Parts: sequence; structure tokens; C-alpha cells
Amino acid sequence: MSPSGRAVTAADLGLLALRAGPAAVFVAHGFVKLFGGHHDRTVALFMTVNIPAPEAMAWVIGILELVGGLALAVGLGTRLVAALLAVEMAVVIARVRWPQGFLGAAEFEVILLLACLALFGTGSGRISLDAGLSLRRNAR
Amino acid sequence: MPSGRYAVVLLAAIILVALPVRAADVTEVPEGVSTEAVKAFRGGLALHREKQYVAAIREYERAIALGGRFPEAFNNLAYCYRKIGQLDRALDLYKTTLALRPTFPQAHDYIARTYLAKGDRAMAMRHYEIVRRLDARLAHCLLEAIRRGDPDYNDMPWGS
Repeated sequence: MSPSGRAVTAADLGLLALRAGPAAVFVAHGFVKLFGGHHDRTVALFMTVNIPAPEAMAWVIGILELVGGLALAVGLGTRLVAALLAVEMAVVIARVRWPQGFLGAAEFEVILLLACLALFGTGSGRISLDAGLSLRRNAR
Repeated sequence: MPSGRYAVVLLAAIILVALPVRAADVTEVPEGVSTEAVKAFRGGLALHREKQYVAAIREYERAIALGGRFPEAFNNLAYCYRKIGQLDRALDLYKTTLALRPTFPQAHDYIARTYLAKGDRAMAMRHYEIVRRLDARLAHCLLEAIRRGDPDYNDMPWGS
């Protein structure tokens, strides 16, 4: 049974797996940006590729990745979070990774972008807080 | 929804996230560099350390031709061009280096020195601000070079 009280399907398990990969990656990167001593490095990167307000944006992106990654993991606000992370990945690919090539460079961000777009389209599935909250709202 | 089910979802999510996070490797390692390219690069570096810049340029260019996208080779090639006075060529190569690896502290240090040699102190300071974020010791030396207006002050070849 899922948190929504309905039977879990193979598709729900697939969506859980689809969420878990990007969630782990974003939480890890968000954590090192905020608490792992990578803040200055992120600011330097943003300054190099001409991202506006690099200091503030480094904090914003760190928080987005950490909180967004956790939200993806538990399936909370999945569509909104996936959309925000997809926008971030699109910017990373365009401003940083594309000049470095595809193999060994942009390929990873492309996978994350596509996973986020997929989650934006499908939502989180039944094994998620979104599903549980939706059921609770419908029951009222 | 019973609160116990929320707890199960939360616990499963924590386990799913915690395992890969524990194993995550955040170190950047260059990929796709052939053995021949590395050999040519090392040959260039040996000549570079002996200040045989023209010969080093040949080896670094060979390394690039063999290894494709190789930021260290672009960086050192730019250094050699700068040392023989070809500042515009050096600038182009540093820009290529930074496109390949935007957080390469030495490339920012060297491009700042190249701008300084060309009389563009504003661009030198812009790259100093980036170096300051990446490597405090390197930034200290670069700032002194900018203050003195001397691009060669404390100018060490990368990898030396």
C-alpha cells in the first residue's frame, strides 16, 4: 500500500526510482555548496560564467538543491521543484557544460534535466507525500 | 493518511538519499585524455620548467591535438605564449582554458597577469576577485603583482 492508501503499481515504483537519483545528486551538491566549503567555489564559478549577483545566487542555488532534493526524495511539491531544478540544469548546460562537450561533461546535467522534466510531467506517483496530501484534501 | 505511513515514506526517502550521498565523489577528474597526450604534456612541462617556451609550445600543441579538450595543456600553452610576448594569443587560450574548467585558479591568476601586461587593470582585478574565492595564497601573490603593476611578480608556472 502507498501513503495514499491505494495499491502501489510498477509505475509508482518507477517514479520513486526516477525521483531518488536526482534527489540524491541535488542533496549532495546542495549540501557541499551550503555546508561543505564549496560556497566560494560556486561564487567563483558564477563570476566566471557571468551569472548576475553571484554571491546571492550561490546561496539561492545551494538552498534550491538541498531543499529541492529533499522534496523530490519525499515527493513533496514534486512538479514545482522539478520545474525549478530543470531550469537550473538548463542554465548550467548552456553557460558551463556545453563548451566542455557532451561526453564527460554535459551528459550528466542533460540526464538530470530530462529526469526533472519527466517528473514535472508525471508528478511524484503514489509513493509520495503529494499523493497522501491529495487524498486527505479529497476526503474532506 | 495515517501518520505512520508518512513516517515510512520519510524513512525510505532518507535511506534512498543517504546511501548515494555517502558514496558521492565531488572531486573533478579530467576524462578522455589519451596516454600519448599526457606524455606530450609532460614533455612540454619539462621544457616549460627549463624556460624553453617555444619548444614547450610545440609539445603542448601536440598534447592538445592528441588529447582533445585538455585544460591543463591550454593553460600552460597560454603561459608559454605570454612569456614570449604573444599576449593576445595567450588571452584566447586562457579563455579556452576557463571555458573548459571555469574554477581553475591558476588560469584566472594567469589571465589576470595577461590583462595586467596589456594595461587592463580592471580586468586583472575582476579575475583577482575570482582567484580570491578559489585560492587565498595565490590571490595574495596576484594582488601584490597588481599593486606593483608587475605581471611577472611571483609568477610561477602551474605544476612547478
